Amino acid sequence: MIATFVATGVDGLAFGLLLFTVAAGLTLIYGVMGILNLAHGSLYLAGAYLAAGMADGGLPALGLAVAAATLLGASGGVLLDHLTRPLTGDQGHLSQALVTMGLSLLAADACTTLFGAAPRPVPPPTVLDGSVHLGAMGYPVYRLAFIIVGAVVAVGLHWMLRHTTTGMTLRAVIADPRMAAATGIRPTRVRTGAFAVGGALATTGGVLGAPILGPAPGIDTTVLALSLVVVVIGGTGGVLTTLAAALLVGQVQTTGVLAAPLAAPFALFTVMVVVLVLAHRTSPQVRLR
Amino acid sequence: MSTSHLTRIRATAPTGPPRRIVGPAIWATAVAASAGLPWLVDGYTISLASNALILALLAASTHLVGIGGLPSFGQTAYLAAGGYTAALLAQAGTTGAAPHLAAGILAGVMLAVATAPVVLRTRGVIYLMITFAVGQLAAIAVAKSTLLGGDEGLTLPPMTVPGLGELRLDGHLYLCVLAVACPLLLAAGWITRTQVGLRWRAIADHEPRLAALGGRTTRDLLTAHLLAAGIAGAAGALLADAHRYIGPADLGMDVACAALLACAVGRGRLTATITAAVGIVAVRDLLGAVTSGHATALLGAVFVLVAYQHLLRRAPSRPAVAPPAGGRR
Amino acid sequence: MHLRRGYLRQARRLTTATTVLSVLLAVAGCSGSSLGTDHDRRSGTIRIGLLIPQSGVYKVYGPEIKDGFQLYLDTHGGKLGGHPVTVTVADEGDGKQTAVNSGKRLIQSEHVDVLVGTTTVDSLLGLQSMLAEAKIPFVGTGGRASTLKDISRIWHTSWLSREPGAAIADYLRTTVNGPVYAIGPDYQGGWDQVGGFTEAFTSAGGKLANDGGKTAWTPWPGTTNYLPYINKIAASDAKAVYAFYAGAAATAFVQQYAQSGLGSRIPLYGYGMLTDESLLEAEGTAADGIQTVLDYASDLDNDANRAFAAAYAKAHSGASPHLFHVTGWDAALLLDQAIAAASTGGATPTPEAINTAIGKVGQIDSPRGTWRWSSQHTPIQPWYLRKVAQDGRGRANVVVQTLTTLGN
Repeated sequence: MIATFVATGVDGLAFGLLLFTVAAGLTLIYGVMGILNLAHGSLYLAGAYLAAGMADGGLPALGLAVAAATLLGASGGVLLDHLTRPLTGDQGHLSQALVTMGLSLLAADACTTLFGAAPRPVPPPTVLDGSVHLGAMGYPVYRLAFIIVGAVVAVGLHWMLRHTTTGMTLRAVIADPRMAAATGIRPTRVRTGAFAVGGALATTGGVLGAPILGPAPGIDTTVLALSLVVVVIGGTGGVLTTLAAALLVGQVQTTGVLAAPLAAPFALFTVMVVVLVLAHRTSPQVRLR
Repeated sequence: MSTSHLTRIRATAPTGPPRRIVGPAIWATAVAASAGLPWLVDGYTISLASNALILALLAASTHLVGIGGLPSFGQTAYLAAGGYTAALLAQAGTTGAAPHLAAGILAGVMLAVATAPVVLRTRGVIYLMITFAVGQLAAIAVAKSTLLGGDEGLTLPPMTVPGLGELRLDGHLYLCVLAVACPLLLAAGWITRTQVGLRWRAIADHEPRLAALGGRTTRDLLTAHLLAAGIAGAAGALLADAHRYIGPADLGMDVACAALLACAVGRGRLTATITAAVGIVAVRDLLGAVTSGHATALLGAVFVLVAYQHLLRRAPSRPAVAPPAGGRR
Repeated sequence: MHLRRGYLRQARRLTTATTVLSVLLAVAGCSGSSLGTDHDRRSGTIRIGLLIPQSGVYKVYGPEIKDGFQLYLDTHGGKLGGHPVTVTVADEGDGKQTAVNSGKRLIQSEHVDVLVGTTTVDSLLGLQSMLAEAKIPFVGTGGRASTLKDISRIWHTSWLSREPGAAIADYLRTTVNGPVYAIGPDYQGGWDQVGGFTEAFTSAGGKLANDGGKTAWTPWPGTTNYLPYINKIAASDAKAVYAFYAGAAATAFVQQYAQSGLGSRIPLYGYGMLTDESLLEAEGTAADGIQTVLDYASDLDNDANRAFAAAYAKAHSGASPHLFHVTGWDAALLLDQAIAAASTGGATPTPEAINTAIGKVGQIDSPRGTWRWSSQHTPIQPWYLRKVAQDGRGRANVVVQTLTTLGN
């Protein structure tokens, strides 16, 4: 029984880190611009389909797919930036939500039309295929590898935000955009940068996550909903809170269903409500009116 | 509460002949046209019109909290309360339209009383996600409940109206939905123009300022929350009776999403929100029926167009690039 | 604060909206009123409404049903029972909500004489009362819930959702040397499918490996990670697993089952949809060796299937037909015979007459073997055990043996 929980806990870690990769991008865009990018799940899906098209069982193909996805996600982010940029004013948030939602619906339809309704296969690279033993349990090697990659991404992002000029600029804009602008930071450039990095994180997450959460219709909504949960639980405080939120959601979705199968369908939303009610007693200023 | 602030708002609002004549005239025309529909179109189209009215009510419910700065993604929970209450009543032998409606509204409000302590602690995006959770939890709960028919939902006997007997034809059901929806929508429109309605908008604009002026903002929002839940409960009762069925699929994420998007298109104006709700049903179900499964793409394109159409109208008065509004918490 | 600003603009907008809507309604509605029940029946043509998923999670099966139905029409001069037919297709979507709208359109706007199609049990649950009121026959091509009350106009060329599990239960009880683990998605389709298995299995003395003998239900929809559940299987004393999943969930389950390394230790059995031909490519090597129960396999050796498979391959550049091609084909085959029997003196039969004739159709010479109606209005048909293996062209479900014949 303990072995089962250990193996499942490890799996929750992998799933949580996958969520972190995607949600970190969403948090970045939300933090810098206050925009909830509802097309974020579509970017993940695009990355996953990219992986399905390029994967051939070798590591070089995976590396190439990651590079292509970074490019695709960054350009997607820049495009979204330009599309949402004119939508400002007191109703700006509404228009941004409408546009990103509309685009995600269009993208979902385009994906099913282009790639069909059947889920697409994304086999992990051959060297990472197969399973290892965690106690008595078998566990996919690829997911273990993903844990390492996810951890590297998390550490890298944290380091970038804490110790580089880019990161400090970003934090300054997140903390107080007007003050940041007054100190000579150009908000539009920061904005474009955040969108590009956020988009690239989502598509890269899609490529690396495809063997775990593969491309199929509806995956965009699943990923978006889970990432939104991570963003609201984690807030825009920094990489560490997002990471904590993602790992929590990952454990709820894995160990949670093992420990309390009957409560499993309710678990995610109940945990979210409890965390939000405990953590956010004050009224945040961002509104989606 | 600073009444002088509100008086000033009222004073600046134009109150000339246009409002007195055009507004009611438009409403009267719209209602007359809607009332004549059953004689013009077939059963399928009229049932879509019923669906449009029900979604309009749900959107109006979302609108009531929305103008107070609370973007709700979970009004379907109160719709469920109303709908399932009506269904249980009908299965127990009470098939009258009026008891269903009254019980539906009551059930919606009662559920809202229960959720208020949780959801009204939050604002903005957090509120959005909390209400999303409430709506999803309600959908999961009914799907798990054997009393409520689980995944299969509940089937109702035909509803009865005193003097008319059982209503079976879609045209009659539609007229019944219309007869309930019109006064409710008008009432929703009226309440947003009263003192409390103005305070909701003021809360959305700057809650701390209103609170500093002595406004009991949470109490005002509670009013909006309860009224909105009542309207959603009514919509649920109508839905159960019009479809003679209610199930978890009626409270899906797509329904909540459609209501919220109607509000987003409406931008704080109830007539526009209602029109948007009707438009969503028309595009998704009426036009979507001939696009072989591409209805959602059509809806997506419409959302994008609406967002930019609004921009075109405002473009001259606003700078093309403004500093970011900023996301801060 | 723009409370009262722009009333004229608002008025204009509302007028525009009303006009646009009226035009839309006028165009779409055209005929008649919704306050009466009668409508003119054009004679000569039989109108068929085909309700199939064109969007949503089961989208992949929609074209299969349609192609099967169309293949029959194309190979039989476009006529059913000697009458020309028009086929109107509508979207079933993910189930209930879209299906009810589309069904309503077919019945009340297109005035179809027969409604054909559906994949999920959900769709029919929403359509029940409408079908009863319209008094037209419904020929189903997908799952049938065990909870329908009035089946006087409901016929399925497919199966009862509880049958596949019941068909394989005895085989697993006698061949597997130990307890079997049962798992499936937590909704009506899953309860029927897995329930059919567990009931037949345990009542014959089989032992479930699940905790407390209770089937493991996974939240549906929305579960994408099955490893926690698979870990539980690994921790049990199961000697085999019986699973029901369809579509993307089936792919995820099969892949993760193989990835967890359990595939070589505990053999996986399931309902045919688990390794449906449309999923085999995505499932890849993970599907190899999985054994499933279904009422069809494209390599079945009988005359009707050879002719059907050849006709299908000719029309679709050499491809093999799948299960839903067969249920679609059989729906057309059934209607062909029923409509022919119902049209006395060459007149176009009424939906009521077609319905009566459907019930009187004797044997259907289907590609899956000959079948006739059970008391439940579903086929009395043989069930086959199939195994995923290479068949020369790629992975396929190859028949291992005939399990049993079900229905009464």
